[in-house]
Amino acid sequence: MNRRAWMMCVFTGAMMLTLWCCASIASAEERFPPPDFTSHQLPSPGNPNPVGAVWSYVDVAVLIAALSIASWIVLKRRSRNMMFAMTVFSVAYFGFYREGCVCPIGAIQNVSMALADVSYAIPITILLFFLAPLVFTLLFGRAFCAGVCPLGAIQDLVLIRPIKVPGAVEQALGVLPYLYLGAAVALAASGSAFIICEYDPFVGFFRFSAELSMIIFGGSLLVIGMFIGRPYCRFLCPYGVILRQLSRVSSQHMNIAPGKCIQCRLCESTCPFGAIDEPVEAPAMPTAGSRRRAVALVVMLPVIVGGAALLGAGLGFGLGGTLVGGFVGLAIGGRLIRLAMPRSHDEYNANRAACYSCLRCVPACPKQPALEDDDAVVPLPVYPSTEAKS
Amino acid sequence: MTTAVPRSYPQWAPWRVVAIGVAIAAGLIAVITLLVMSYSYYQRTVYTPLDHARIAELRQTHLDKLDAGEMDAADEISETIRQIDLDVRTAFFAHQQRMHIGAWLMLISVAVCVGAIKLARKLGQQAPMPPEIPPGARPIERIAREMATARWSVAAVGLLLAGLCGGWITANLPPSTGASSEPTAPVDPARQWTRYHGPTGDGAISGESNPPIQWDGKAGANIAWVVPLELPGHSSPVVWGDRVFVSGGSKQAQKLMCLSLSDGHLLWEQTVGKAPGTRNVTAYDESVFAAPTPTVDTDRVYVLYASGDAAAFTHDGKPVWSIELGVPVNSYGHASSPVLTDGLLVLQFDGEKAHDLIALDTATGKEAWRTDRPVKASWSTPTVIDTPTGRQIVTISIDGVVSVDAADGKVLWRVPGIGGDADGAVAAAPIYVGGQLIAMDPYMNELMAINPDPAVDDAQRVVWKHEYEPEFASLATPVTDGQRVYLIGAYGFVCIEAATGKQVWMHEPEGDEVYSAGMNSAVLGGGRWYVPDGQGKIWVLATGDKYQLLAANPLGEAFTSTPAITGAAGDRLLIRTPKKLYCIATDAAGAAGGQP
Repeated sequence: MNRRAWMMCVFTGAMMLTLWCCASIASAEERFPPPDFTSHQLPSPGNPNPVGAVWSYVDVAVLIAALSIASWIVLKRRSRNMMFAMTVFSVAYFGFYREGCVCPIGAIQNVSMALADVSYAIPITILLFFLAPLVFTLLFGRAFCAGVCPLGAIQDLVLIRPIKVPGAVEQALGVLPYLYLGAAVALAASGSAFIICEYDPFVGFFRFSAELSMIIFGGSLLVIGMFIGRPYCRFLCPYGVILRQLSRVSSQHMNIAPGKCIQCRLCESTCPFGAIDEPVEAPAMPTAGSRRRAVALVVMLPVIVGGAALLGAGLGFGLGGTLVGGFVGLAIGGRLIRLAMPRSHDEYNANRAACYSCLRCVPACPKQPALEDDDAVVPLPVYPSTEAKS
Repeated sequence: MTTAVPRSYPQWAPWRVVAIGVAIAAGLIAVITLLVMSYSYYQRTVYTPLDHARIAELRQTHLDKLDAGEMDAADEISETIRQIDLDVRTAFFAHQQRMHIGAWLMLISVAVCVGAIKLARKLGQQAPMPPEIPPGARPIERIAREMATARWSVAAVGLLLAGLCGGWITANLPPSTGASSEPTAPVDPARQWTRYHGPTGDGAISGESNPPIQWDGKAGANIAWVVPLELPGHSSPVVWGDRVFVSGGSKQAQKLMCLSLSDGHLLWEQTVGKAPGTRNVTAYDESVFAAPTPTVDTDRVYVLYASGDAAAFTHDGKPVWSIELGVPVNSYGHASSPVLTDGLLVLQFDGEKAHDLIALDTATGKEAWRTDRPVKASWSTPTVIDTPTGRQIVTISIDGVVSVDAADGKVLWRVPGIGGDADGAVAAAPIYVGGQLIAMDPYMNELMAINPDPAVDDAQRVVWKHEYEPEFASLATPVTDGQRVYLIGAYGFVCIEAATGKQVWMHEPEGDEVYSAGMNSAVLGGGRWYVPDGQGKIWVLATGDKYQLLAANPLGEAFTSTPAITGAAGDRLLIRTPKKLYCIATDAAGAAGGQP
């Protein structure tokens, strides 16, 4: 068994472990009625205490400031070290200090509930938390994911020895966030549950309080995240589904080489998230086979969506189940169509949808502009053999 | 050589060694801390305050001593329980403190470990190496092959999801599919226990009945079957033919369950509305979410929850309509049960903000009329009465007994003066006896008889009104045999002459026969009065001019619902506890029953 096969086995096992943990029920809760016959002082609860309105606005201000700084780092400074500092700040502030709440990912549910239930008045701060990262992504790419989201940041910090996930596995598991998003929206809109918050894998670490199953789930993701970059962001995050689509059409986005790519291949292995599109030679014209395949998949798309919607309806959740099924069918069908015809590229570049703008690839590129602070830029490589000779 | 020196850092090797050493040390600390915390967690699961074996044992002993009347021994045991409970709780919080410190230690050691590993890797980093393969674009054929593999993998995930959904659907086909094919035997509507406190609200079914006199829940004596219920509730079971309908609710869900009267197996269940936990429903305990009792007629079963969600289903479990009426705001959570009249489902919605009597079309759920009455909160159920001048719906609330015309909801008359404040508990419904309404004022411990004729002058409307010595159980609706009204006292039983309000007899058991009222109401059947207490016993008394205790039957667990008399011969009792439904029948084989 070769190295890749071993890695795949480990990866599959780890994913199964996390899914098992996710599905397992908590063995115990540390909550029970207080004694009414002693003067015992109750400890503070595990969930964060409500904050005043002022603090909510402070959080919004910090979020917007962090998004602005992260965007500036991505597009102007192009400094990996500064982005690292940003991730540390986000984990410290949005994670441990604000205890992971409110967060834009969970705000999806508040927005869904507000859209479905006119009697639910969504707080303006939660709405801003939901919208601000979307606006910044539309303008500057996924700077939110790069260093502002505490969930992404904590995974980014533990990444030690990244392993490249095969493209086929990446594409297959990439369907799961669509399923998660659909289920979360449907359940929140129906008022049944806020599953994004309930199954937030890292909030237990931020609060030092969680059910055992969630601690195991979050811990497993962090252990996996030491080798597979940002597993939650890539294979589960429902907010990432929206950010991917917005980032595709963002007005600006991080480029590996600010000028013309010289195809030196030095950046090829730096991305732990498989988000670098390699140059692909342009065919004279699409082959007849790929054209037929693409047309067939486009024709089949309504069938795939309809079938998935029927399955969703069969689950017994009424219109919500139908819509979720149709949405997942659309995601699968769309992904199949996109994979039907290879597209050519003439240079190494960040995939706009998948790139988190973490800037790991930037120092590897020899075409960086000179910056006053050159700590982010590795000088032009001098190969050991060359140096030994000199 | 003028090129900048690359960061291969051979000169930093000693620092790299230090970083590796720090990483190993921090990692060891993290592992040791994790092991200690895991052990501490395991210990905590063994000695949890809620499930402490010794406390549970002492609690049972305490109950036994109480039953035996050994009050001194019971007091001593309760003091021991308190001490053990305090010790266990103290140990629990000490454990929590240790876990909190351990969590911080884990966080710091893991952060140092990861940081040191990253630093060591950075210090040992080699400059980027050019690949051996020549620069340039990759052949499109290779990309096409990779994309084909990706397509198949995406399709495989899609098929896997479809398979899982299909499997789930197959495994969870609604039980109603099978149930609906069962022929429904013809039933006599007049003898069905169709709503809270019997078909007419007076605690009895029409015609002959003969409920069991003796049973024992623990020993299984005369228990025809007992089945677990998925969700708790204060609501009582209602019956139509061979189908028993029970509502249940929690923060997560509201459900209506249909069970077979013959053996208790689940025929179908349906979820109603959104999860109450997301909607600020007032709930002083977990059973409040399903406090209102459902009601059933020839065509449908109707259910209401404390969240203000109402719904109708066919007897086979097919949804007919559902509606959100808004969460009623009151001190304890909404408890008033719906009643039926002439194609209308009538809901008493009294609280801090609204004081409405709402009538919904039973076929569509659309509002037929709504009457805002000049009253305050209540937890009582409306009473539908047929008078010589027409059908009326009578409600009792803080600040008044109000009657409305059943056809259009127009207020016909009002008797002010029911006491209590916003937190008072006006829960006992009025009953109709010999052309008079008997209503209870729990605040003043009074009973009054009201003439419901709209033509009567308001000054003459109250026929008699008396304050009584024994304290009434304020939540219990009285029962009547036509001549007498039977009321539950807080610590005993009271019989009153219906025509005059004169107390016929009163008995408060003493010594070994301690009675303490619960939250539920009594029922009447076979010339006997079935009175639940707060500890899970039902006291069976003979009706008549003298107190006569026939039996005091323990169920084995406390309950708050009102029993239902059912069966073709009126010979069964259904009792709903928070998590179980018992069917009691004379000469039953034992506690067989079961959940399918």
